[in-house]
Amino acid sequence: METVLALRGAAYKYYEKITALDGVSLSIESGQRVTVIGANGSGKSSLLQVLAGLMFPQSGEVLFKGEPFTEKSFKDAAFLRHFRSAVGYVFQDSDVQLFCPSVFDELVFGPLQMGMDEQEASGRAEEIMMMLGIGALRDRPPYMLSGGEKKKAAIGSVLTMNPEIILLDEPTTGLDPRTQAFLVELLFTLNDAGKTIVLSTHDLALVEELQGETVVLSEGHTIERTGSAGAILADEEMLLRVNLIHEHFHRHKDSGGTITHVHRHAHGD
Amino acid sequence: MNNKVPSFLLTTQPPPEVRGARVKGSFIDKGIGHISKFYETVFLQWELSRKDGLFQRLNARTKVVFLVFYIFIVSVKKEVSSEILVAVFIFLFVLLSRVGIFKFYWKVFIAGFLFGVLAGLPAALNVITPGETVYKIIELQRARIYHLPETITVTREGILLVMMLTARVVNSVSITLLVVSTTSFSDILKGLRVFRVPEYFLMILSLSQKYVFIFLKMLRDMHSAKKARLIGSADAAGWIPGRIAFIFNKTQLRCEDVNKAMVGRGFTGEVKLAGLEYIKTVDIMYGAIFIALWMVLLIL
Repeated sequence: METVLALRGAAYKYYEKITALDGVSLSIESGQRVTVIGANGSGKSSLLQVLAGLMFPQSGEVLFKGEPFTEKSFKDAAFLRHFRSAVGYVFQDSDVQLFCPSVFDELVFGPLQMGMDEQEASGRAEEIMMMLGIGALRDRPPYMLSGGEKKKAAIGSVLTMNPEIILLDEPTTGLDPRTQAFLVELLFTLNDAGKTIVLSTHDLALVEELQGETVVLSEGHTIERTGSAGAILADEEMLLRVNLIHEHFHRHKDSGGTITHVHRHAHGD
Repeated sequence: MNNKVPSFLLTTQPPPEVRGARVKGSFIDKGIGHISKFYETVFLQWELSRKDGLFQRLNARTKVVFLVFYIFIVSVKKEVSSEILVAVFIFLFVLLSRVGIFKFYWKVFIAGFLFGVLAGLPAALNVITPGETVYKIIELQRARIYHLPETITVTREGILLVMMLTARVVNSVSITLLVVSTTSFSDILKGLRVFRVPEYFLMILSLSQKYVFIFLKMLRDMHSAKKARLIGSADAAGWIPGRIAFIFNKTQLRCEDVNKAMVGRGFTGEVKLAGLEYIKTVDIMYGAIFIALWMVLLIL
């Protein structure tokens, strides 16, 4: 399998003071389903934005299909077009991503920037709207959409570009269970079609559901461990260390008197 | 993890006693109320633009051209009777577009009263428009002020001038309101491309409109959060500057994120926007009718 995206010792600090990534190295293979997990503030969003070429590491390297790229690489029109059409990024906050006057305009924005003719872009937008069940929202402005509808429109706006690699930043946050289930099913379908899926979350139930390669970020902004979802979820000590589960005490009485239990709970439980 | 809960949290306190009569709403409350009203208006306008009416069925380009042509005719007509004829045609278009007549003309007449009658009222006097006296207002003992006539009167020519001005305001506002009410904002933006408005400019307009909504939502949420923890009124002078600074910072951060979202979808600095749907037979047909009517009105 080809390595599509990779990081070699990548480090990033916001305002050159607040560490977001500290010497992170990882490889993402074509067609993989990768879940990046970590507590709040561990650097998940920063990691995904570096992979998407939206932020650039201050030290270390980021590679696309084996070739390192920097901010300068995007001055080359051929690379820019190739990279942007190959890598799609879905923001955690859909409001950030929806900047066009209507859902339809949002969906054709990417393909038009890629130089696709309007008719083809419209055709793609119509098909994606049908697939996501948002056809009725075609002419609606994004501020008139519910949270779930916004998320679908944001995902649709990336899918119309038909990227090989889709990066999703906490895609299930704030969604109702039905929309979450729809999204998970969609991710499986896209992955089965050969797309590489990389998503960040701190929801361990989602990790279990997706069962892909899992990358754990520590609160020190480094990679704590990578492995299969099963192996990662079984390593409770490590999950406790990176603050993805916590110990919880509770008491109840039985015939013998008061008993204190200690349970470990995942975030979101 | 052991939570060290402060002891006061483990007891229930009675609510604080507050003396005084009713709590008065502040100017901020009223302003926030207007924000909600603004949301409602925009939603209703959007709903209206989706209705099955004459103007809603037309392509935005046809409507934008109609708007410019008819504003032109309203401006060049010199007779009140011609303006009334134009107003009759607009009324028919409003009816056929299934726009709520009373609300529509309420807004139109308010604008007509403010910018036509009130603004033009001094022109009805012989001080500005000399002519045949209709009503004598005041007779000055001695014209003390330079240029003022001895008798201040309302003149026939002055009244006609005010009527003309009011009719022009009413017609211009009703044409504009008809087009704006029956067209979604995105289609208006696209319609402007007929006049070769640069796509950059349209993109900035679109982003600004979106920001207005985000900004208002942020304001409303901040105010609700404050109100939920407040008894009586807060020191607005202390609260508002802090919030302005907060919004400014948040706007800068959001601006960076939106730019990333645009770049992530291939934006390189050169904007390419989706065009409007193709001109259909119905647009050509109505376009021809509008032009024919326009020419008739121009001749009359």
